[in-house]
Amino acid sequence: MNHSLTRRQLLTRSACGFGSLALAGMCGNEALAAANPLRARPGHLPARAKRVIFLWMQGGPSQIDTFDYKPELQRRSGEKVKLYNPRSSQLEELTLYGSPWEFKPYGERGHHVSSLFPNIGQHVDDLCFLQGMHTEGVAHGPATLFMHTGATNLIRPSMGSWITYGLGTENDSLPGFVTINAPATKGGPRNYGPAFLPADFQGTPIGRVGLPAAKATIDHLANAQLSGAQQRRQFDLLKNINRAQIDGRDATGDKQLEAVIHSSELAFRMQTAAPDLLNIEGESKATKDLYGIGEATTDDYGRQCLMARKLAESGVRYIQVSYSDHGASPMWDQHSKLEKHQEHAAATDKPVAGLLADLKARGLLEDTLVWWGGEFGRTPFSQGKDGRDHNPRGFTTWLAGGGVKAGHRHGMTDEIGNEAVDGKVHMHDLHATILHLLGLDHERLTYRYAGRDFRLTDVAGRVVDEVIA
Amino acid sequence: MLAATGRWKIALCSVVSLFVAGVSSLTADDAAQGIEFFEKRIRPVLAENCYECHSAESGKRKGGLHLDNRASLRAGGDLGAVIDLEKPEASLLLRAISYHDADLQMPPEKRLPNAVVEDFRKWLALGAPDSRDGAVSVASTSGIDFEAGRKFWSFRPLGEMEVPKVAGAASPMSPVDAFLETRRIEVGLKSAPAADRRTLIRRLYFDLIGLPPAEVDVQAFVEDPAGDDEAIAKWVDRLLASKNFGERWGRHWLDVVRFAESSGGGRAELMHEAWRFRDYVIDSFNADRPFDQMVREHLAGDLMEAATAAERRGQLVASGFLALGPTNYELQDKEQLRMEVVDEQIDTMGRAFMGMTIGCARCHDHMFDPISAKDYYALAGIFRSTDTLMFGNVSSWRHAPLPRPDDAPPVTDEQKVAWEAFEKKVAELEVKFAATTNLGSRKGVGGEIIGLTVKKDLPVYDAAMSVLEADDAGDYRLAIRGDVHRLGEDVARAFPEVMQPADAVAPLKLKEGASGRLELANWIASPEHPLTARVYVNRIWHHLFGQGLVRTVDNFGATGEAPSHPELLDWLAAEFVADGWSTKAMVRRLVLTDAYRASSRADQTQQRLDPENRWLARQNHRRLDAEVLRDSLLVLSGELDPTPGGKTLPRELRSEFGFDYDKLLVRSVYLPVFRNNIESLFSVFDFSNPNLVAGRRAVSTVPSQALYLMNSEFVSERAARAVETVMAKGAALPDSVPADELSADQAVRLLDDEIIERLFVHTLGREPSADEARQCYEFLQTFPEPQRHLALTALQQALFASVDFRYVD
Repeated sequence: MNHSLTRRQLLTRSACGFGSLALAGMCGNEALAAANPLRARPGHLPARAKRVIFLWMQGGPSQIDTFDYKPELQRRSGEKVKLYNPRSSQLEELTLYGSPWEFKPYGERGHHVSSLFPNIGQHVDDLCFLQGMHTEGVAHGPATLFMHTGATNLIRPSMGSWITYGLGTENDSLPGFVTINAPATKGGPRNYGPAFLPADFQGTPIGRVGLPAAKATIDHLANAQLSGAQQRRQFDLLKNINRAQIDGRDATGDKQLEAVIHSSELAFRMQTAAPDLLNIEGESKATKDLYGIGEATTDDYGRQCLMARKLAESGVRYIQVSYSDHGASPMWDQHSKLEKHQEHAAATDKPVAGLLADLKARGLLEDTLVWWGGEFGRTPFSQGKDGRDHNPRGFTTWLAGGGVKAGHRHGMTDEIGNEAVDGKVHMHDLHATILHLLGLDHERLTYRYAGRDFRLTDVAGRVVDEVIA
Repeated sequence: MLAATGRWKIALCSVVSLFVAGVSSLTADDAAQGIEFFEKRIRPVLAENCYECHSAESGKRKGGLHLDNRASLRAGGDLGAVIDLEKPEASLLLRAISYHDADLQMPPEKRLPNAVVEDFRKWLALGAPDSRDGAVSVASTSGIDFEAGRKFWSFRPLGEMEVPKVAGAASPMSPVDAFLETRRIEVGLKSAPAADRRTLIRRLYFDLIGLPPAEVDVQAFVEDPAGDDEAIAKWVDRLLASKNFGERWGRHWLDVVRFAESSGGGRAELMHEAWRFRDYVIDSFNADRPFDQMVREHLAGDLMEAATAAERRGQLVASGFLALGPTNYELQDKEQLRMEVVDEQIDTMGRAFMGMTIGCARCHDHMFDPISAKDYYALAGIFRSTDTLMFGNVSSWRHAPLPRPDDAPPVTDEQKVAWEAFEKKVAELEVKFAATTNLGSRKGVGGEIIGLTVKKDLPVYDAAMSVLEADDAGDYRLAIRGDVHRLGEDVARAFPEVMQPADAVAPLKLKEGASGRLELANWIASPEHPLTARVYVNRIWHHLFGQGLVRTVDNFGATGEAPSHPELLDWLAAEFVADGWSTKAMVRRLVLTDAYRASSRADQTQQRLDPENRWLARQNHRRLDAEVLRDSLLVLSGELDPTPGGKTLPRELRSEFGFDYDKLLVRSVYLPVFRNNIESLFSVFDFSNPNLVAGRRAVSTVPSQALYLMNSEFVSERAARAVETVMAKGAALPDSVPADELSADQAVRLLDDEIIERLFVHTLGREPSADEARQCYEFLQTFPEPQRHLALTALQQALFASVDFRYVD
């Protein structure tokens, strides 16, 4: 067992994690722990992964320009063919548009990756490609909500909420579900909201779109006017006043009021612990370089990915890192000027590869499931002269670590990369599989609301056994 | 019309007859060979590829289909028969496995090899010989016993309840108290004494108007020489007459009707005219509009008669209820979108007015309540006959022009011309829209109409969100498993069977072109409806006692909770109807009871016998909800802007994202409600989820609340202003203290004590305990003198975060 793993275990297993020693007594309080809805608990099945890092590529990166190599499409580029256009829901004559990027084989298995991702390419032997993905929703909003909540329109809890509802979290000074750089548009908070699940399971946003990652933090994490010592005294005062007020009410021990004290203390622990976790300055230069921090193109996403590693290491259950913005056409949404994919690839390639390398070096990849992907893919036919439209009927997502087969490909699209034809994995199936890897049975993870039992996968979903190691 | 179910029946008959005929015409050898072929080539494939989702063993019956025995395979599933022995090539099974139909591909992950598909083709041609025994397992279709269903407590007609006589009562008791006391005696509980007046006035203020009482009002009430009954009645009447009453109680109702000013979903389109609905609700509560009238106006205001322009305006605005839902207007499939809206309307109506989760019956009969899928589609026919949507690439709700107010200047000739030109243009576009078949062009024309009628102010007239009767009004069909593209049998428009006496159940008799919405509204708002009055009085009770007699306020079905005091609930519902569905009369009746007035402190016996306080031997203490918390902060900081209502969103505002709430210091009910950008204090303190019917808010206690109160700029600012407000009154030593005889330290001590006391009185309406005063004094001493204001602000903030501020006793 390597040194860093031991250290990590120590950190996550000590109840107070990064909290101050003075608070150790608080954390040891069994009665309060029992009442804590975020207390870590086992799932239904043996878990292969303890946590998830979801790298969301907002807007829909093109499968045929990244990981789904289609020589046939290249050969027939410019040819007019009759194809089903998901946008219009009808057959149309469309023009095939070959990828402007070169592909080359990587790794032992020789998986082809385009020149957009030379760094991620180095890791293909750790990746498990799902190349027959399909989903619901042709427009960004519905597809984004579907990816996060399993519904295009109906109000449902976010996947991270379901998972923390099922498993709690392993660090009681931090939220169990965080979302870094989440966009306010395309469904906004609904994508990390608990809907009808209790508020304890809502995602906590870190940073926001438009704010440099270096300044990203959790809302209201510190009082701008008070020093740390002053605020500790202020929280102490609050605790003492609350204690007096509760004792003065009745001697019957009202749980809800006790929870006010408990949650205030947790708030203070969080505000003590979180800044260290969100601050990457203490990391070595080698680590920062690995993520491309300090280089203009990769600094922002690199910081976010490194933050994700730190959060994963300290026991946060579900971490989403969104490569996202607020444009009407989000990041990867190249309806025209497909060449802009280059820009987005450049911003994310090194940080994502760095994250994989770092997780692996720390032994974290074994029980951390990394999920990379968009809300849908793009069409192999052109839109306008040099763009691609949304494609929910066939695209690629990859997983790594956390119990999935390494260096594996599952499923495929047709010869031009338009539609999943084999090893098809619906977004519901992917959700079911991720829950399964975490030890949760997607059919048993239910919550009764308004007269019926709800679940993330509604009445669908199949665990894709073929990708599980 | 050949519905899927119709086909299913025909196919089943032909299969059965053929099978019988087939057996007789085949030789024994043929039969044996057929079975062998099945055993070798078909059965293993079924077991390997299909049973996972279609067998009793796996417990799955996807598409209503089992394939694990002969009888089940031949019975077929939701889509009808899967094999057609007359025309084997036309078998659904073959279509699914050959992957020719994009919407029906089985097995879903991978097409079977060609050779296997060919085997199935051959097997079907052989007459699908199948050696497997076993019976069809019963599908979960219908078979609801409505007669038994009508006996469930909430579906029974309202009973005539007699007020119980309480033996040995010392003083006359209100009927409500008599009902409660009867139960308390049965379980051996004694009611807590009345709360003191200081507590009571806070409770009344927060419950009735949602604002803290001013210090002078607390003083006046505490010192009111009148007896308790008289004093309380006087203050209650004063509060009921305040316009703040509608702001408080209107907001409760806005939770129920999932009010918001943006559509949510992916695009979150701004609803610029939704504020009119909010103001209609607030006005309704202030004017004590009868609740049955509100129900009618919500569901069918556009179809009602009006005597005045003002009345007509109210009705049209109220019908916006149907259009306010969280709809993802980006959905591209028009029929899907149309039925999603219908579903949302049914679900919201069901839960808001009847406490029924009718939406559960969209895909199959309700699992727990006696509501069939047929009941659902009978209602769906009514709402599908209502035109709520304008279709475009991004679709939209509709706006209706409002008649000009009675006191507005008459329309000028010039305006008349402008309006006629506008109407003509829209009418032309509507004709073009109807005539366009190409989907892309249709979206384009729809978009133009939306651009003219929704995205901009209308010329001459005000606009409100509203609905129309649909051009294609008529009955709808049962959508199999809720799939709008697979329609089954016709379903006549009607009301849910279980909510009517058996002899009243009948399809609606409607005029050509009528949706049936007005009839539906009248039925729900009738005194005979078993649910409407019960559900509503229970909502009022919930807000005054912290929990309903039925605690699941939006669910009066089998998965909800039974009432703690069923007789009281029925008695209240009957009184409510008799009082002309008056909210104010009901509120007044309830707050004047002894039960409402009781202290919220539990003694050991109460705690032991009734930890959840179901028998109401005391009041419940309650947390300030998000709006009351924010409004209280603004009152105490002296900053609350009392401007009521009006238009919320500037026309030029294009997106909810980045909206700066902190600049608005109006009452919380007037802040915009954006579905994807809720004000941060609201989202931290369990503001109602505007996507859902929420008659009962969550009360979570999470760390983000403490972080918000202790660290947010909004609260820091309010705390700083509150301290200034208190200090502005000047702090001086009381005259009785001989200042020149004090040491400097003693003077500071006395001065600090004085300030601490004032902050407590100002914030909590009471003086600090000795312990609290000492804690605060010591805290202040840790700050150096130049940080005096900061120290007091930090103290004030801790008071805002304290239990006594956040909870009402």
